[in-house]
Amino acid sequence: MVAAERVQARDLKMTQDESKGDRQAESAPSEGPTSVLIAVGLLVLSAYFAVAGLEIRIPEGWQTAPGMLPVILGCSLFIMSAVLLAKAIRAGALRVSLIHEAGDSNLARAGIAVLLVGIYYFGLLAFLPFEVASGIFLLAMFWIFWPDGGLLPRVATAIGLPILITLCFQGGFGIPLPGQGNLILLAQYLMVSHH
Amino acid sequence: MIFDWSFVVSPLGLAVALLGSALGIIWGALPGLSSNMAMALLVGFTYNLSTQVAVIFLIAVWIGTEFGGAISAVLINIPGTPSAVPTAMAGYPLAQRGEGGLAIGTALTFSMVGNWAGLVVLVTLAPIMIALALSFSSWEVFLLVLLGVSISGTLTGREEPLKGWASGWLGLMIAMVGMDQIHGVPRFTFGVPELLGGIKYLPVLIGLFGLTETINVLSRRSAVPIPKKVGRVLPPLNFFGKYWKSALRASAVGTVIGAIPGAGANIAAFVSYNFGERATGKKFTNGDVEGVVCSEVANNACCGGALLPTTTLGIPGNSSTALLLAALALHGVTMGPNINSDAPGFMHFLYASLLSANFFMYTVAFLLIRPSVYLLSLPSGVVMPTIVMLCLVGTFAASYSSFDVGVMFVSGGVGYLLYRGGYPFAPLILGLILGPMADENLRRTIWVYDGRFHELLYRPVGLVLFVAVIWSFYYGVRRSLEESSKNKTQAIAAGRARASSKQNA
Repeated sequence: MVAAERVQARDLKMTQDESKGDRQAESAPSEGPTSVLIAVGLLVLSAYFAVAGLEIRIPEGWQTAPGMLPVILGCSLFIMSAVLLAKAIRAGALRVSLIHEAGDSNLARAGIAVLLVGIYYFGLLAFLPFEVASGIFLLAMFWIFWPDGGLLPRVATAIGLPILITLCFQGGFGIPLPGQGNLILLAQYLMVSHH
Repeated sequence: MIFDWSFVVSPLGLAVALLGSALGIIWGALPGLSSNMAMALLVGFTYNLSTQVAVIFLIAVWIGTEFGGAISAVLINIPGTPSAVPTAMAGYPLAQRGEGGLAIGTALTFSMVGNWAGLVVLVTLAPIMIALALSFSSWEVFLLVLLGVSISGTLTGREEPLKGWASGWLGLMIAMVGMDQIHGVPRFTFGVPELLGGIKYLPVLIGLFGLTETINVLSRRSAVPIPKKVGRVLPPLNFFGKYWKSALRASAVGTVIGAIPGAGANIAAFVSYNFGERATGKKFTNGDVEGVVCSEVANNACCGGALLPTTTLGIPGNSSTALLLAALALHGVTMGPNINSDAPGFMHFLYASLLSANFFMYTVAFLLIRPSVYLLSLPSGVVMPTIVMLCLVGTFAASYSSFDVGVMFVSGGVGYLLYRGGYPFAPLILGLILGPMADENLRRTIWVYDGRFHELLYRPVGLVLFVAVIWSFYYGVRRSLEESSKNKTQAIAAGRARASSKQNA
């Protein structure tokens, strides 16, 4: 509960100084490995931008050089990232485990979610019609993230939702859907070939 | 394109506003679904609608979600939107005492008051801001962008403004990808044809507000207790007389904070909540209707406030208006100082849409409060995968591009890392949207004033903006140093406490 409040309160301006102070006193490091990872990532990215910006062709004078703002941004972000990295390490970020940093969030669940979404977007939809790909994706997601749902509700929802989306968006609004075809297109093809 | 405000009161316009309000209220009530997510998903879908219908629909959804978050906040202590967290703090104890309906009814009534306040400020100040903005040169425009990103970073970075600035700078850097606007030279395209047009901000927005939040919610296991009783919803009339001071204070806070680029309704709600506690001497967390008033008036007044810089300067007041800006850009409408000549009638159309959305939010919400309670029990394991599908469809609908789907996916993953690391999204969004403006205007300024940079000091508006930028960075650095010093002191105290407890043991 405390960790959940901490995650929610992170984005909020609260003057509950006493409770915030209590939480910080209980858990000494306020940064974790993610902060270090991001700071390093930004350091590398900003360095690349600054160097690459200098190499961009200048068609006319330096005053309108296309690489000007990238170089300025790269250099200033490099400094900011270095400071953030130093602060994170000094705050003990490397002593904190990912599990402790995650608090009430389960990193394995997050990883599985990302993996399934990736397979859906770049794997299933590349080879299957929208409804089929989406149905398989939903079944997998429901199996893991809706374990209390019965078999019939999960299967019915996994089949029904993509069909509903197809009918609503492609049928109703004419919005094309990703994937290798869908129900509406199949129906149109059958009508044309029948005639 | 010409906008006709009378379309808002036509049968189609009213139907769209009704549908949008209802959808927004239900959406906002569902935990894990924010107003930003709703707007991000709908932007792509509204591409195929007419511009006027799209504007009415998006405004209605936005207004609806800002109230909708209060329903789950009060009834189950899980705010539907981040801006409803103070409402949960003040309202949930009321629900536990069986006064949940009263808290929600108060939230609804005073949300309407907040919307009115925001609208009055917008109508009054927009013409003045437009007149002022038309006198801006490239120097002032560049400083405005810099100010927007820096203030947004300072405010949303919380105890570490540096993270907010880093986030903003990241957005600016992403905006540099593509052909440069002055010479057409490709930058950071790596030979990929799809990158020549730059990284479109819509897939990034959908990734950050849709996919990131989905991953975040799915990663947490949470059981939602379904409330058994809602109770009377309509608040007594004497509440207006009782809480008018708090409503007025919250209106001012909401509109001012809304007008600050990047500062969203969540900041407005919390600042108003804190001001309210200090002004009344009460502790709202014990359950107090006045706390609900402070929070809800502010987060709705923020809507009108946020539209002020968005429409007059083309600088989004918060993430939701950034998405509105994106939606209008898809329809070829560019908000900014030239809005009255580029899109005649747009401002009046916007005012009418806000009025209509406010009216329907108030009337429809009373009908939807009790049905929404049942929706609260929908498992996130069903809702979130559906959101994933909608993210995909929304991204694909806008450009029919699988590349953009890839951008959305990467944004979602990176966004989750940034979220875990405490990096706010609002400055990133601002930087992404305003980056091209900053780039073009900086170079133009240097080219025009080459060798005469001292003349920039004689431009009064530019000087004020320049000082504001410096102050914003100074304030952020000072706050960062204060927090570092406080953390160090607390860590030392905690260490001593642990050492003495070990000795006693």
